[in-house]
Amino acid sequence: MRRSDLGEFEEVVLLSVAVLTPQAYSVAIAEALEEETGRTITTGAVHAALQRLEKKGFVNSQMGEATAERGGRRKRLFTVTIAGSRMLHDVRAVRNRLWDQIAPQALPQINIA
Amino acid sequence: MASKDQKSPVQPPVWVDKLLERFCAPHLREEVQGDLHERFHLKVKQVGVAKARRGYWREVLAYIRPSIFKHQSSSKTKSITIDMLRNYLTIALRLFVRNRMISAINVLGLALALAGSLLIGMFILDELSYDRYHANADNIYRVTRDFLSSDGSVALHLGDVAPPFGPLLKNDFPDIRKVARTLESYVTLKITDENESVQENINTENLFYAEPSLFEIFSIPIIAGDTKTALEKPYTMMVSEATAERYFGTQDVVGKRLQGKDNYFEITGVYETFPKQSHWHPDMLVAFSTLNDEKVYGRERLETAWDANIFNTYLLVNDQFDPKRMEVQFPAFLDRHMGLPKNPTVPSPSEWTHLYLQPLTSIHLHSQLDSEIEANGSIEHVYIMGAVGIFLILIACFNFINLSTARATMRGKEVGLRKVIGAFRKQLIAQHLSESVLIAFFSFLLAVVLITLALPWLNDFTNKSIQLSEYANPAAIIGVVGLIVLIGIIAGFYPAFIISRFKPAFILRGQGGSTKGSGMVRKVLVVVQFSVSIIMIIATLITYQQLSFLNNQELGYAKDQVVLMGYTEEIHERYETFYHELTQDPAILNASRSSLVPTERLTAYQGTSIQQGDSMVMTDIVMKDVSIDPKYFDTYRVSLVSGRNFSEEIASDDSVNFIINGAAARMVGWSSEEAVGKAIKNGGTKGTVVGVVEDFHFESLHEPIVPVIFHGQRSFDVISVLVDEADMPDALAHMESVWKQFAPEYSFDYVFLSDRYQHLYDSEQSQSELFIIFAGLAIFIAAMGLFGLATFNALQRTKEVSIRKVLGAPIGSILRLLSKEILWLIFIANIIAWPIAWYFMKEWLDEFAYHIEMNVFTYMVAGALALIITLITISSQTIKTALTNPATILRND
Repeated sequence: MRRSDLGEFEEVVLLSVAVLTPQAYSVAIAEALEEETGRTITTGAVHAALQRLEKKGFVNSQMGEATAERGGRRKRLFTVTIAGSRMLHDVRAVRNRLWDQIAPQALPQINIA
Repeated sequence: MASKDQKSPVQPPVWVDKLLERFCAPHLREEVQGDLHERFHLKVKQVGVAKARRGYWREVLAYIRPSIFKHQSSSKTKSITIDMLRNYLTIALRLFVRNRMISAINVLGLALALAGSLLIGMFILDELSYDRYHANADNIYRVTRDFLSSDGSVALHLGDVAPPFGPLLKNDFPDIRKVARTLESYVTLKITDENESVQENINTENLFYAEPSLFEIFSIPIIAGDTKTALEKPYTMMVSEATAERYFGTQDVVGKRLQGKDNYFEITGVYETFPKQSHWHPDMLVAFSTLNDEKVYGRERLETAWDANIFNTYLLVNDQFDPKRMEVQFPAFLDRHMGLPKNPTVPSPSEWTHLYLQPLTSIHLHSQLDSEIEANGSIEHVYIMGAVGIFLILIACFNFINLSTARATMRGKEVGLRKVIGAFRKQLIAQHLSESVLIAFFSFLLAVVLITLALPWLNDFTNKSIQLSEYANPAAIIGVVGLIVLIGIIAGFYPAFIISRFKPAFILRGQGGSTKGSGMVRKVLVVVQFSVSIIMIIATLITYQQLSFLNNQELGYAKDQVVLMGYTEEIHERYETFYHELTQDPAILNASRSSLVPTERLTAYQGTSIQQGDSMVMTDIVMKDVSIDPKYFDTYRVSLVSGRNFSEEIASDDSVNFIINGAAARMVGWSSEEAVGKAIKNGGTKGTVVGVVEDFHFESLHEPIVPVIFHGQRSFDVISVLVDEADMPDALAHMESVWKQFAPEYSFDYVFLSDRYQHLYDSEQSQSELFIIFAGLAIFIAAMGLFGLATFNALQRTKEVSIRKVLGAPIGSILRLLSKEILWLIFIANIIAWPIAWYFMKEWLDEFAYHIEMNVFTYMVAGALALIITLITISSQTIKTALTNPATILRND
């Protein structure tokens, strides 16, 4: 499986699924991402990403419980699959290796609060 | 607000849920709706109701993507869909071949109808395209002028106006950007060689004086010369490409000179010949400045001749121009420039004349003024033809609907089986619709062939030059394809609806599909078809009757024996000798000169005063003015009712004596005898009525006989020659030889008055011929449908007929049985058609001042014709069925 199979947005959604398991579903993920990134994230966008991830086999889903806010409708809960897990690890490994190779002073200094 | 929210929790907009239920794939609906609702409630808590609502649509929009619409199973059925389509096509083709006759009727009928209506469509598009090719078409107006009688009615409405108006309008109204005047005129022009000997006379029938600004108003492509300077100097002229080719055989004619009467005219440019779709077609354009020459027209008259309404005046205006707003300023404009009369009892100019603005693009179809450069088309004609085109298509569609629903029962088993294996109703409808669209396409291909064959005929007929290649552009092709699909859907929708309604259980059990409901529809459609056909038959008959009435109407003058020829200055100078020479030949009975001849429009009128008691009173009776010589009434064999004719011996006959027609005397209130000796003033000339002439139809029979005043003041344009019909060739030869003797420089042209008379009704004539053809087509298509229906009907009832025969029914009663229903329908169609036809034909006849009275007999003939056609159509099938030996049918049961 090629790395390009995981888009940037898909990657953060996949990570969020991992973070929120076992209560990972589109609304929770959208809320979490909005909080983390400060951007407006629609559930529709998250839903689309989740559908793609599921098609690629990185997540599994099953229907969860219903709540009052949902008008008695059930939610679809997602969990990361082994393939998903491997993909996340691969991505992370690549990033780490690249970070390690950055020479000191190569990056312009910024203040990290 | 907040407390209210807590009582009943805020809900997201309901319409979104509705929308989602429609479009969202069922297996996704629950989670998507749930997500949206939950998110909405969260947002309400975070940012408040208003903001949440506003943000909601963004949330919803994010779901609009294919993966949401797509139904779960779709990916699995894809290959099946293609198989199904192939199956539909196979079935359609098999049916097409198996029911050859019905298919042929459908395709041929539709093809004929399509060809007919597409031809009509091309004709209409061509009519509508007149004068639209100019870049400024929408900003060009023509100035027209009318004159009122003192009772306020319009006496005359002219398409051309007096010369001073153009420049004055430009001067007074800043909205007018350009003005161009043109003047149609005959000019003596000859091609000469170096020795000034004449090689060829030029036909200047379509010669116009024109201002150079014409080129800034109209889009006239130039082949040679410079439009800015070409028409600047007097005695310069431009010619059309066709004219250059005609007289010089080349387009390279700039610099060539043509000999006029006193001057040479220099050709300074060549323009592209005007397209057919133009309201005028000048062969030559001569510099307007030439008119400043006193010998030609005169500068002063150009500025003051308020009554010389012979100048076509075109305006180019700004984009945001409102003609109505300008027209309301015209009365003041007229009074300002034409001057108010000193005597307050005399009406001011704005009280008896008006100016109007006429959009250039409406001239061809909407303008039927008393003077037009060329005969225009008519919008009514366009409407009628459009209606005929639509009827043709409808009749063919109805055939299709009828035949398809009729034979639907035969396809019951197929439909039943399809339903059993799981076909949805929608799929069945789609199947049948695509079948009818397919048939429509076949028909279209055939129609294209028919159009190619018929187009030369249409062009010949309507005097157009439409090319099929004009329509080889994407817009036209998309339009036609759209039309075909639309026709396919219209024709196929109802049958598809009926067929797909069948209940499989009934059909497969052998009870057949019920087309009970469709029987009524079928009848209605047949009735409509035949009503339309009958209306068209009636219209054809009545048009034909009216035309033969026009041709045979007693006109009051000798129409068939008169030959017209031109009147030149050379002949004018030696007319007495000319007349003497001309009448030497025994075949020539008489000859006379006049300003107008019958069949022309009476446009000139000067205003008349009549004697009442002892004083002269300006009358509101419009007496049209015709100038004649003493032989005129003898030539036309019109007799005087009272008084005397003009005579060469009486000097005052060519100045102050008048003859009026019966209508004029009646309008004034004189009896024919009283009128003689009365004082009358025509324009500026005061004189006496010396005679009253019998009424005759000077103008076309569209017009009533109007009052006319004849005078002998010499302003003649035409010579009328009364000839012996038996000796026509001899007479013409003699006329030519005399002409050559007196006016050798001009070619001898003559016209038969009867031909001119025919031309008055050209549009009616071509209309009636078109009607005959299209009515024939409509009836033929309708009859084809009826034939199919009868065949089918007979087929369905073979068993019934056989049993009846076995039980002893005579052939006659069986024929009656089989024809009764259809004949009944034709009867109803007549009942519907008659009043409609009566209404429209009355409207049409009312356009003629003299017309036939419609009689019931015509209607009965039309009805009988429809009946006979029907009987012939269905008889072959009913007779065949009635004569079948019952044994062959019933053996197997």
